[in-house]
Amino acid sequence: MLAFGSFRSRLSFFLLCLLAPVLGGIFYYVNRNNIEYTEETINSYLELGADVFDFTRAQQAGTLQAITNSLTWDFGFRTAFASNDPATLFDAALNVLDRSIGSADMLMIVGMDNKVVIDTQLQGFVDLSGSWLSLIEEADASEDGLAEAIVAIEGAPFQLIALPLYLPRQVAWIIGGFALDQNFVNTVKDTIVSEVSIIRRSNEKDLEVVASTLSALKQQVLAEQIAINTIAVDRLQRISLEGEEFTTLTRSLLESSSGGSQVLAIIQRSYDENNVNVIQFRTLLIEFYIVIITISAIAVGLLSRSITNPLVKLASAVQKIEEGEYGKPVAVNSRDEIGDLANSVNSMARGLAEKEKVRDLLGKVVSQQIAEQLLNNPVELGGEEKVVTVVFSDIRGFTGFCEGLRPQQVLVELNQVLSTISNIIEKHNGVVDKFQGDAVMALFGAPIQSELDARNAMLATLEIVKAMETADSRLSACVGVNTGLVVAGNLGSSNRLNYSVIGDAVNLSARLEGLTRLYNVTNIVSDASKDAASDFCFMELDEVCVAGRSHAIKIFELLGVLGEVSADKLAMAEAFAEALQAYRSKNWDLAERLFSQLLTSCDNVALPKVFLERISHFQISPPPDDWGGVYIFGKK
Amino acid sequence: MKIRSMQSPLHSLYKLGFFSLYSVRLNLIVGLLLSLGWVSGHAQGLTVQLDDSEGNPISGAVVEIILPEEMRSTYQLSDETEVDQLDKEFVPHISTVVSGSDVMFPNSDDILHHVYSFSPISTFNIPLYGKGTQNDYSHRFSETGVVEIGCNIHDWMLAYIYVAQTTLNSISDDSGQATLENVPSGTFELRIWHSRLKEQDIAMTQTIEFVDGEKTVIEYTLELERDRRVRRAPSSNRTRYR
Repeated sequence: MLAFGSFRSRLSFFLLCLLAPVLGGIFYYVNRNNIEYTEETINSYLELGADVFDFTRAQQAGTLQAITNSLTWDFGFRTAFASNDPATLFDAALNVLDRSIGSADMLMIVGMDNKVVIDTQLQGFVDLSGSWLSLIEEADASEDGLAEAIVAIEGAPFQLIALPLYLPRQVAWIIGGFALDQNFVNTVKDTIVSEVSIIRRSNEKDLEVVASTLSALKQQVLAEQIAINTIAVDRLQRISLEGEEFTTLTRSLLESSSGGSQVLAIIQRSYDENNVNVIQFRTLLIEFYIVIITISAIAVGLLSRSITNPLVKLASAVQKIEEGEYGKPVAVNSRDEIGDLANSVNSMARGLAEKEKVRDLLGKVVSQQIAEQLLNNPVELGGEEKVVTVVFSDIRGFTGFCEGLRPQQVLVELNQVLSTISNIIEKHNGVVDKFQGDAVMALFGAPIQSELDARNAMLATLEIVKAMETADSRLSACVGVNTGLVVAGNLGSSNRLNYSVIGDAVNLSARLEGLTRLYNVTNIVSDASKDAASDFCFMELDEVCVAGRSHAIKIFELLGVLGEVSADKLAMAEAFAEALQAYRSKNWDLAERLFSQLLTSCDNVALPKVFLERISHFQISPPPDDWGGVYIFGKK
Repeated sequence: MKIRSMQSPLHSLYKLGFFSLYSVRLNLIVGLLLSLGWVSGHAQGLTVQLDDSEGNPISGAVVEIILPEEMRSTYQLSDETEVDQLDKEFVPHISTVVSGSDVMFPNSDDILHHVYSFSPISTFNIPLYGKGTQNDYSHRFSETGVVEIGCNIHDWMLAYIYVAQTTLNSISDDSGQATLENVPSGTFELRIWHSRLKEQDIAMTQTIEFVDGEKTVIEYTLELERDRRVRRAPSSNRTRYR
């Protein structure tokens, strides 16, 4: 199958396939018929010309006869003949030739004894012989004493006529003749518009062009051709002379009985003259074809444009749709299939625009990933169990920050902060699950799970904390991070759904966020999350049992990425761990001393205070013996 | 020229027609009378029967007996005769005159004629003349021989005037018979002429002995040449110019 770059070239190709054989066929047949017709015409012209040639020769012979005959009527000539005065007769004969205006070239008077009385050609013989004698014998044998012949006189063929001279009975023969010479062929050519050549063949190979209207070179070629090929008399033949084609007809003017000598008249007509017609016709046909092809090409152009223009428009429209531009409908004003297609594309664009609007809105209402999840999967109630890292982020100091601001401004500020947090979460492939006032709940691992979920959550936590610190000195973030098994899916009624996660891990995360205020830290990470994220530096804060939970968990503060935490912090963390150890081993004095030391060395004064308070409490009412350091929070 | 039946008259019996049969019978009678020695003086008759090789009678032939010079005077009666021109033809076509006779060429047509002769024995011409003119013109033919008369206007017009030595001549009629009366006894030359006889035949003569009281019958078969004459122009049959 041929590959076409464009619809236009395809259409042009098929048009060409259709037109070429039709036009070619027409050209072939018309051209062939034209050539045949013109050849027939030329041939018939030639045959006509040959007939006219015969007629002309007959007429010339008739004229010759009339001229010769009129001589016999002249009483002066009769008297001169009777008085046996050859000199006078000779003069009279010359006079007649002079007056014949080229119709007669020679006269001869022959006595009844076949002896020459006078001869204007002065050939010198007295007794007739050969062709001359045959002529007279033929005339003598004929009813009215007439005979015609072509006889060579000194190599040149003469058309002769013999008739009797009556005085009043026949006393002599008069022979009149005209030369079949250049004058003759020129005259004939003027009449029949064909080339005429007189050729004498004295023997098989000895040819002589006596007279011809052809050019000297063509005469020579003609003679050579005739010498080689025996030319058929009275039959049309095709002869090529010097590259020019001639239709040729031969007339035998003289055929001597012995077979030796022969005089031929070759009448020829060039095919070139009708070639001009053929070429002219061919040119006309080609011009006509050019017009047809041009018109067809224009028609094809218009037709293909009427198809491709809307297609191009449609294509660009579809491309824009692909890029997300649904606003501009395709302007195709046709009622055909392309119009239908355009309408379909337009309605598709509208559909896509609506869907995109929904998606956009969904993306804003819910997280992008959840929106994708919702759009790409069948929306069903229920969900799946997943291990998710849940990040609860709250803004501390926001109430004070908003003091004195109008509610509208509060919303603007809040949205700005929440946007910052959302962006950070999304940047680290987290999903914002919901906003609750100034709090943000984010998921790492739902709906799409990854090995880096916990790590991403840690990075997001660090960034949120840092962002809040830099945003405003009055604001600080408090983040709770926990990792655990949750159920993720569409929650709610069949009409109103919410993609979310539920489970103990979520609750714990929220509890941990709440605990940050107690410990005066920016974040609290559960031991599950800490275990899930390596490469980070944590400081153990406590082992707690939060409300509603039976078993204790260790909680940590995320200090930073491993290796990036300052030595002071590490030292502080080490001191804190020492104090915590003393605390857990109920060595209250040591613990109190160590925590008290931390009050001065540690930035976070509130943290050692928490433990100093507990120690003073335990010193009054000591914990049970099996106490391992777990602090139980009684209420939410 | 062949001469038949001269030595064998009986043989000719089978060849001759009705008149010939009669002649042969006469011949036999003459022969019988001759044998009895009965002579009737100067009253011999001559009948010449002329046929061509196919047995067709030849008319228009002239038969003349050539007498010795001393005998001619009795028969040399010159005369006046005329060759008329009627309807573009010479009338008569053949005529015989004795040498020394005058011949007139009147014109009976309404058009002009130009009479001429280039014959060696008498060359003359009467340039264009019409009816009623040249009536007193006559041409005298002194030499013996044949004169061919033509008209320079009408090439087909042709007349022969046979100029004889004596009146002992005759023209054969349509049955090919030429008859002479009162031929003197003796041996004379018989000359036969016809316009279509070959030249050498015309010169030939035959010697015949004429016996007193004997009727001589001779039969000749002549070989004639084909007659080629100028054809009369078809339009010339119109009597008037317009």
